[in-house]
Amino acid sequence: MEPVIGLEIHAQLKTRTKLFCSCPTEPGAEPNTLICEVCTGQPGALPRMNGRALELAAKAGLALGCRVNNRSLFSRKNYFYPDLPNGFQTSQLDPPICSGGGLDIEVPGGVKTVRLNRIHLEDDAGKCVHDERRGRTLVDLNRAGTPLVEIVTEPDLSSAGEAVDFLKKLHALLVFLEVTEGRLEEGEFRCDVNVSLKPVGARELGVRGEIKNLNSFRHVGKAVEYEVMRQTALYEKNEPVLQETLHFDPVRLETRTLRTKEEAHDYRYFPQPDLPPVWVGPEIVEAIRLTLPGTVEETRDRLTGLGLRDEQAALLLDRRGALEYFEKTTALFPDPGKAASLMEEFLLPACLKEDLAVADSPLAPEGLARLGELLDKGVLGRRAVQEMFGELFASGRDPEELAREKNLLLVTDRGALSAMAVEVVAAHPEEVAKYRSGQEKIMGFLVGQVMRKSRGAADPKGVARALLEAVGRPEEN
Amino acid sequence: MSELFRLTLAEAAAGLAAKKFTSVELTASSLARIKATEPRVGACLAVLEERAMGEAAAADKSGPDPARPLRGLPVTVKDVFCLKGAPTTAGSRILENYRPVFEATVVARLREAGAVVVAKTNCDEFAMGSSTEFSAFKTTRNPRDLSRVPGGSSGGAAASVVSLQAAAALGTDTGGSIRQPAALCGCLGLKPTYGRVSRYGIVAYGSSFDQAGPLARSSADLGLILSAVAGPDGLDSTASDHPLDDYANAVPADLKKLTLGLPEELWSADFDGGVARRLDEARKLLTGAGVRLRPVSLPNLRFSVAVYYILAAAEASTNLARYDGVRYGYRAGGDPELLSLYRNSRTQAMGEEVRRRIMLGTFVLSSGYYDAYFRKAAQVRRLIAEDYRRALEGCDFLLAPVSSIPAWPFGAFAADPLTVYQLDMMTLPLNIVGAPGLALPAGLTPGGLPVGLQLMGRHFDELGLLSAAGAMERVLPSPGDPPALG
Repeated sequence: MEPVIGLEIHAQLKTRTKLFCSCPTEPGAEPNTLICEVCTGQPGALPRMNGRALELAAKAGLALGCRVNNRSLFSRKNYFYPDLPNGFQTSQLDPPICSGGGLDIEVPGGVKTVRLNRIHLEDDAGKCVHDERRGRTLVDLNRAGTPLVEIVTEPDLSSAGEAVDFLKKLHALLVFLEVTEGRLEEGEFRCDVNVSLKPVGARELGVRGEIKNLNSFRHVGKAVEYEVMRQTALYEKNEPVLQETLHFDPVRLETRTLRTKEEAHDYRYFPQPDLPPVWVGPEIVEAIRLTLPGTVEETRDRLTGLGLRDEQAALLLDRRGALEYFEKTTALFPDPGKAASLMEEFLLPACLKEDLAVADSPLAPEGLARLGELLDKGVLGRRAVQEMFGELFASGRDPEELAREKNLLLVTDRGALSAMAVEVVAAHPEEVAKYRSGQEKIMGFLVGQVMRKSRGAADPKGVARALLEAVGRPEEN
Repeated sequence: MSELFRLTLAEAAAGLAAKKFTSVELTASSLARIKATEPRVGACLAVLEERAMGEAAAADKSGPDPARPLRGLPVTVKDVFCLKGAPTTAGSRILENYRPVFEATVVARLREAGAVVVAKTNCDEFAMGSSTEFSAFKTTRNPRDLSRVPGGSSGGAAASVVSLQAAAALGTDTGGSIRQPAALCGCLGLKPTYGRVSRYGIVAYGSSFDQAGPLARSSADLGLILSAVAGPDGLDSTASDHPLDDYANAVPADLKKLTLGLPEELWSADFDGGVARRLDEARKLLTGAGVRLRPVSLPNLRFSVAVYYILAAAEASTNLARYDGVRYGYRAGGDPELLSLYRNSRTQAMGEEVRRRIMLGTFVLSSGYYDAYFRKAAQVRRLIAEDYRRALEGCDFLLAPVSSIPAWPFGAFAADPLTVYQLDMMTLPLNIVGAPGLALPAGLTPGGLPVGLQLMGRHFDELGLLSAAGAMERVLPSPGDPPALG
């Protein structure tokens, strides 16, 4: 038997406002503060389409090789749940915004194309918060009406590993396209996994189990592995696999029945009468196509072409907001290699440490560009950067100002360096004599002495130059 | 000056402009009339006395303003319109304690034009019904004969206009709910083209049918209200940006140049004797005035009752899913288990007719039945629209009766919902096609009950309807004032 796996991925679109009203979509707000009559389902309230959500869905579709349908239609998907204010979800049944398409993943011995069935738009539900202590359930509707795209694959995946690879690649692409923020911990990228088994080579698919609502790549891998194992065991015992909806328990690493086929909802889909068909004309599709930044591969090539190491390019592509930050920085400080190392060495670790999104870094790209310039000019040494970066990052201040305040600016003044060099030469006649007799390595010791005198604030290159002059001067006797 | 409530909207506006009286006097007169007539008529679910008097005083203070043509004029609105801070029940127990936090666009526009909302009028629960008997709260009586229904679902609106509580009322028409009560009570009512008026903030019944419109005692007053509320709305994606006309200044049409099509299928219905006689006379009066009448056919009309009760019920079944006892409205006590909470809240606080239509709508959308019912009905809907377009070729408007029977005694059809559904046959076609229609009185039966006619127009030709009605109301017999109610 071989596993047959299909995915339904829900990604929250990166829009400022909800799909059918103008409430903000930020996570983390106090419960029921980002709501209005539309997203709470008050009597008589009507939806109005967020055009930005449409664009983002079309953009994802174009990047995934889908056909963008000029005319698509919203339907009502009816079911009762306390976090569903209208008693129906507004989703797209037929036609959806995008059809077809696919994404390649690497498999042993080559490349596999995972075909997409469709991408459609829909609104998210709110959240139920269970207060176990008081035995109550509370409803938070902040998330209700948040725009999602659902990306449905064909059953083209055949292992947990492939499923995870596909998801990681899709996630990176959607984040890169700025279609979604993709914060897994916020549930902004989650998926349902359909798993069935069929005899190797057979065309007909077996009965499937659908594992709902997984929001970590690891869980997807574990859930698929468990489900394949469970179904295999059933086949081996000659017991039927039942069509059912499953829940994955991340602690016990196993799937459990949520609903059987008999308990499945009849969603009673029908065209949503409050929204006219959505029209995305060919000229709009072309305009959206022009906004595509190129593929991840193309961007990676572009970055390495700029002189970045592979790891640096990968870092910029994987960390959300990093590429944008990099581009803003290099617009002001046009040395991509140095800008990338500053980010790799200082900025990105600092963000990680403070648990901040790159875009939320208190040190703006302008600040980092300024830091690069100061290093370039030799006004600031790398050690000094190391010493002050924590404070610079947290305060977002001007780096030169901060370095001056902390006495970290390098002494580059020729006269001052030369005076220190002369003093060191005078104080170490033996070493100077050795140098003159050809032991050039001793120069390192002399530089060290000058650096010590300056308490590390001297520009090392300038010090070497000044010492050469001082040592080369004819003896005064 | 003591009977200001008798004035039409246009007359009252002129009087206010000429400073013959104030809005406070006019509004007080309207409120006094409500107080006097309500014990018998029962048109209103909420009388907004304090608020109305405050607004009237403010209107007097602000003085004339060309941008506010309804300044200081009392009107009533059906209880399906959200009015911020005022009870909005849609005639249902499940919304008994509901106070909206926002305002229906049409109500906001009426108020911006200066109108003073004096009361919210009674209706069938969630506008589902033809007699207002399905209101969960009270009985509204026909001002012409208190033993009879006012029609519905905007029965309170029609009764408020005919009993002179206000010169004009705002109602809604999903399957005839403006035109039928207007005809049964003896006033005028206009159902605009679907999309002419915003639906935002109107408690939804059948979303692809619902349309708000005015009821009044003259066509000029219908135009005044329509011009205040019509037009596109960023909050309603189905509201149209089709160009508006100057509805407030419709010029009466030249009847000699008017050709009206008479849909055979509607005129051949089984009429009550008194109604038939009135309709014959009305046709004679019109031809006498020079109107050309010609028979037309709407062959698929026989399906309209089925189409309507499938599609509207389907939409209603999901529109009403939000009344679940979770966020607002009635919540059943007792069993806290979720399914019981839903079941008990909805069963206890929704009336039988509403539950019947929810069941019907749920059924026709169910897996395995969708194609046979919902899809088929949607297809037939398009056929009826095509019939309608063809029937209008060579005609300015279609002319049809509104109801085959006059206002009926309370309880007459209590055991027979299907017969009442069949009675809607005359009014349903317009909602199915989304076209505009205007009901106007054609006199009284020998028993003193009003009979109505309706004009049906092309999409967005409300101006044409108002012009034709403006000429026809001079020719057709007026029903006159109702008997003393006070």
